[in-house]
Amino acid sequence: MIRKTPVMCLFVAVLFLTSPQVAFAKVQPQRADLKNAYDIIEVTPFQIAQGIDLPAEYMQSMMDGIVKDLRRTKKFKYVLGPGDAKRTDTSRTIQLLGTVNQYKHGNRGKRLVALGLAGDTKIVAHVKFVDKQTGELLVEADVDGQIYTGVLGGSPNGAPSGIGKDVAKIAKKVFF
Amino acid sequence: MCRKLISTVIAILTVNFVCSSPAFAQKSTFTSDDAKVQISKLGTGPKAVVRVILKDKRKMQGWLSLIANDHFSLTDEKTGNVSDVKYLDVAKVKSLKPSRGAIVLGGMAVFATAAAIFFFAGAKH
Repeated sequence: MIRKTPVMCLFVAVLFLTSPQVAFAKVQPQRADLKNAYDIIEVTPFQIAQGIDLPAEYMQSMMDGIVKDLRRTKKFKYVLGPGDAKRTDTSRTIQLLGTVNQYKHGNRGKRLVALGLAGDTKIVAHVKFVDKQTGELLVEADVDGQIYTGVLGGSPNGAPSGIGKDVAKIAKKVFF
Repeated sequence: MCRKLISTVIAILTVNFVCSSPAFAQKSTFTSDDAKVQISKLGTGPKAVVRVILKDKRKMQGWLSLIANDHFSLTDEKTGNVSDVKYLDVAKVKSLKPSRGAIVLGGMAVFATAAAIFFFAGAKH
C-alpha cells in the first residue's frame, strides 16, 4: 500500500496536468443553419472596382463560368444566371454578389519564355453569398483566376474560369 | 531514494502547473482591436487559412469566411462547417498562409534538388 502511494500520486498529477489539453480540444459551437438550408442560387452581375479595366468579353466569360460551375455541382435545384427570370419566392435563395477588384492582363510571350515565372494573367474578385430574404451576409471570400503557364504560355481566356471554380467549390463545401 | 525522486518530480510539476496560469494571463496583451486589425489584414477566402487560439485556450483552425464588426467566421477546410468567433474571445491569431518568401524558397529548393539529381545522374554516365 505504502509503495503504491507515490505511483498513484504520480498518476493523479499526470492526469491533473493533462486536463488542460482536454479543454483545448473542445470544439466551438458551429453554425448548422447553413447546411442544406438553400436550394436556389441567384448569380447577379459582378461590379468592377474603380480603375480596373476588365475587358467585357472576360466579364461575360467569368459570369458564364460561374453559372456553369455552380450547375455542375448538381447541388442547387436552380442556378439563376444574370439573364434568367428571377423567382418571386425568395425563401431558401442565396444571392451571389461580387466585385472584381484586381485584374492583370499579363503577357503570353513572357509566360512562355519565363516558364510561368512572369507574365501571369490574374483576376481577383470579392464574392458575397447573401440570404436573399433577410439580406444577411452568409459567407464572403476573395477568389481568383490565374494563368501561369500552358500550351504556348497558356491562353489568358482561361483566367475568368478560375473564379467560377472557386465559387462553386465554396458553395458546395459550405452549403451542402 | 526513488520515492524522494518521485515526490520531487510531483512537487516540481505541481508548482509548474500552478504558476503557468498567471504566466499566461500576464502575456495576453492581445486586445480585440488587435485581433480585428490582424483578421482584416488577412482578408477572406479559402486561401486565408488561420489558426485561432481563444482566451479559454481552445484552438480553432479554418479559412476566414466572414469579417463583421464584432465577430468573424471560420470555415473548416474539411467539413465546411462555419463557426462564429467574437474578437473579444481571441487570444492569438496565426496566419497559415505561406508567405511569398517561403514559396520562393520552396521553389528554389525544388529547383536545386532537380539540378543536383540531373548533374549527379549526368556524372555517373
